[in-house]
Amino acid sequence: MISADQVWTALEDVRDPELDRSVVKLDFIQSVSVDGADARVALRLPTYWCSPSFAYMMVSDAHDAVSALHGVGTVHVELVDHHAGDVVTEGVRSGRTFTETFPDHADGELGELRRKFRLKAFLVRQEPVLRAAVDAFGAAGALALRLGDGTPPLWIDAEEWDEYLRRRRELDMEDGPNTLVFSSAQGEPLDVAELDHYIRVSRSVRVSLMANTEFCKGLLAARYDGLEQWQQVEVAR
Amino acid sequence: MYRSAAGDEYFVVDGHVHWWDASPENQKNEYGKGFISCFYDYHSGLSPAEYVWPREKYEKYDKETMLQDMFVDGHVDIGIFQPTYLTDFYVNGFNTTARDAEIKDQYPDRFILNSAWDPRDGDRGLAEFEEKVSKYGIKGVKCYTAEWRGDSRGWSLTDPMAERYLAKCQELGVKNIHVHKGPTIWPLNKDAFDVADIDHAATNFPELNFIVEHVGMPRTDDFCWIAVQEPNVYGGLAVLMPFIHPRPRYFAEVMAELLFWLGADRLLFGSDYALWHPKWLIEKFVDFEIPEDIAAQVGVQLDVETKQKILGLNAAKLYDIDPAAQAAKIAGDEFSKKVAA
Repeated sequence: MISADQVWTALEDVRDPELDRSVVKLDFIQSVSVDGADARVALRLPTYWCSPSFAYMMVSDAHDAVSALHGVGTVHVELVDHHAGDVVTEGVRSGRTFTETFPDHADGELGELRRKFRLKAFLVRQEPVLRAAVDAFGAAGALALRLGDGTPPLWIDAEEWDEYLRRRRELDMEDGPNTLVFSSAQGEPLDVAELDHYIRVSRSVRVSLMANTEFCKGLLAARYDGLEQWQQVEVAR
Repeated sequence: MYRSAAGDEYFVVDGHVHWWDASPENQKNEYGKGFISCFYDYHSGLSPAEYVWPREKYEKYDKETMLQDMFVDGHVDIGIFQPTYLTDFYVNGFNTTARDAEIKDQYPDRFILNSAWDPRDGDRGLAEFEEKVSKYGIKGVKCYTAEWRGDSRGWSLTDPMAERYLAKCQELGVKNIHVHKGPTIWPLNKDAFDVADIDHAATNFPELNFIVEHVGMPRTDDFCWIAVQEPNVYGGLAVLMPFIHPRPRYFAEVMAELLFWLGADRLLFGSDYALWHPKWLIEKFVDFEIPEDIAAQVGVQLDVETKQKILGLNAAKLYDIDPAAQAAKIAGDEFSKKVAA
């Protein structure tokens, strides 16, 4: 026996790899139902045309997350209202890889694409932490900080710090107490002389991702009767 | 010519307009239905409520509606047709060169007619493209790399056949290449929205201008990197523009980035009509100011001169339009008279 709450909790850790946000927070989970040990999840996206690659990742990750629940039976994650909905749903359900799911349209798996967006997510999550450190210690001081210098540090919001550490772990970066807090996405130390430019570039990645996320939320709202609420958000700010 | 409340004048080139037919009669399959449905969500989601059309009108609008919206109500001086064929989704295509030519022929001073090509049409397509160029006096093309064709889900500007089409454009003086990325491509496991192929093409064809539609959205960051390196890469603002209404702060953030990396001379206004009505886009843009904190952090300004460039002067340069001569040409036409009345 499992509960719907358990399924929802498991889904919270599933992210849209492009937007780096939880599919639950993005309101992509249309419904969850359980029948004894079996779980069904319906996943919806902002448009009929969202890239099948990212759609497959989300369905597949959702399937894995729910399947990891203790005592779960059959897991069925359905991609709804999408041009490749049936193909993706059936591909993941029957355990086929992306290439097996789209034999005519793909020539490899999704690891490279996933990594590309993990690198971007890293920069986006690093930027506010880096800015705060520069404000507190100056550029040279910030770049000399080490992970063991106090965790969580007092100069940054705890949640932002945790998210940053999580993105570091996902890129398999070192996390010993002597490891520098800030390095490039490739793990190389940052240069004080080029730090302004580096932060500028990170800002662009963040702005692109934020705008993309907001677009997706607006389109999802337009598609599923949430428009009034979405349009009011900015007014409230 | 749009005159703001402050008395500044703006010559307006709408760099991205359509006259489409997505009516149920023209839909070939569920994809045709899904395509216009997605457009409708863009339209209804981002437009002010008073500008939202009923679905039926949105699927197929008449010529008169378009002319009135653009030139009488919408402040536009000249519009650029960007054909989008989608012949796998629509019986007669979504918005073809031939369809747009019907309006262009009637109002030659009000439109620039672009064409389109697809490398998957091979040698036959190349010959047809050459015919279209001479028949219509084409100076620009729209390339939609995510277009489905039979079993294919898209193409890249680096495909050898695409390079032959680009060489043909260079040879024929079709110098403006508008590129629109979409959610699918071959192979499907790559990032379909990636703009790297434009970087490659811009380097190989320095005489051509590459206007990246929708400023590379959703990859504006990657777009900025290539634009910094390639002086012949431009950004079309269609689809970003309407964000000015529901999400002005996000609009400001992206505009600040674009102004920082590309500067004021390489950005082109576009309404993407009938996705959005040019009237409110232009009015809101002219009145728009980047919030001080963003302007200070990025170090850019969106002043009157910059807005004049974005709304028309930059596109005029690419299409060899003399704004003063163009304004004189349309000053006495039926639309200008209606505006004056």
